[in-house]
Amino acid sequence: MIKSLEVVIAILILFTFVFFIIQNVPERQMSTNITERTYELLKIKAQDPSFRLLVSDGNAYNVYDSLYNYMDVSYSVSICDGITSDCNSYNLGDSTTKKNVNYYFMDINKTTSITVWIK
Amino acid sequence: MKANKGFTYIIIVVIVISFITALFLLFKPEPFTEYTSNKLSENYKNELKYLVDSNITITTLDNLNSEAYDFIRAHNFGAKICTIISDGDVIYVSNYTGETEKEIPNGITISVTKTLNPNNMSLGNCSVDVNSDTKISYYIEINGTDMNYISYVRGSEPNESDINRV
Repeated sequence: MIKSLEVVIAILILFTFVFFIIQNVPERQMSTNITERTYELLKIKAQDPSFRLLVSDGNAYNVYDSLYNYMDVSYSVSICDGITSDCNSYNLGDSTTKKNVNYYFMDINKTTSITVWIK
Repeated sequence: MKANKGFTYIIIVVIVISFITALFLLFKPEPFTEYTSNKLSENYKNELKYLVDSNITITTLDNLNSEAYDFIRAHNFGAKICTIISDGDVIYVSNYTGETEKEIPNGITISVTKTLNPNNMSLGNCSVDVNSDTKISYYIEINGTDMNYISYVRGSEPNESDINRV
């Protein structure tokens, strides 16, 4: 009887642990993948003079629009002036889980920040 | 004694959980500081590539290194950068290592003609053999850690067609 009770406790502990792993690990892994891929996207787009022009203009909506075809997750864009620190943002996110990806355009003193909203 | 035997299952489960937790801790994501340093280094490399492919002059290279140097220091990191780029008959040398190297003061970018330096150009950890295919050499150190020490040939980076959906 006591042995059966201990087996049940052991199984409960194991199930609780497995549940915790299933809940947390995929989300952490997914969030890392999305931020890495968003950064790679920014690096490639940063080689495009027309994209740099959009960033230079400082209009966050235009930058958001130019990235739209490459993004499958909710995201917002913020462009900040490296000298005056003024920011222009286009924000659509409303989820609690978010990750920031920053890229600095050194020749035009603009930092582009993409906030990825992970559901 | 019988009760002790019964604990075997619980003990085994706890050991398994400890083992799996240890594995997760071993392969946890890199610390935030290291992550930020890597991203700053990647950012610099990407901006340097754009500059080399578009419009390289003393002024543009100096602006890039000056901005990168200030940007890294704005994150409360120490920074050292040197860059040598061979372009046609001109070699651009930029020193942001924090020290005077080869009589080039810190925070200065100069250009020299290949006829004056027919074989090799080096500064700190950067070195370009003007007769080889390698035309760009840069070194970036953030917080005392060598982040990148790379010499490469133009045109070996990813392009627009490599973009995958995020």
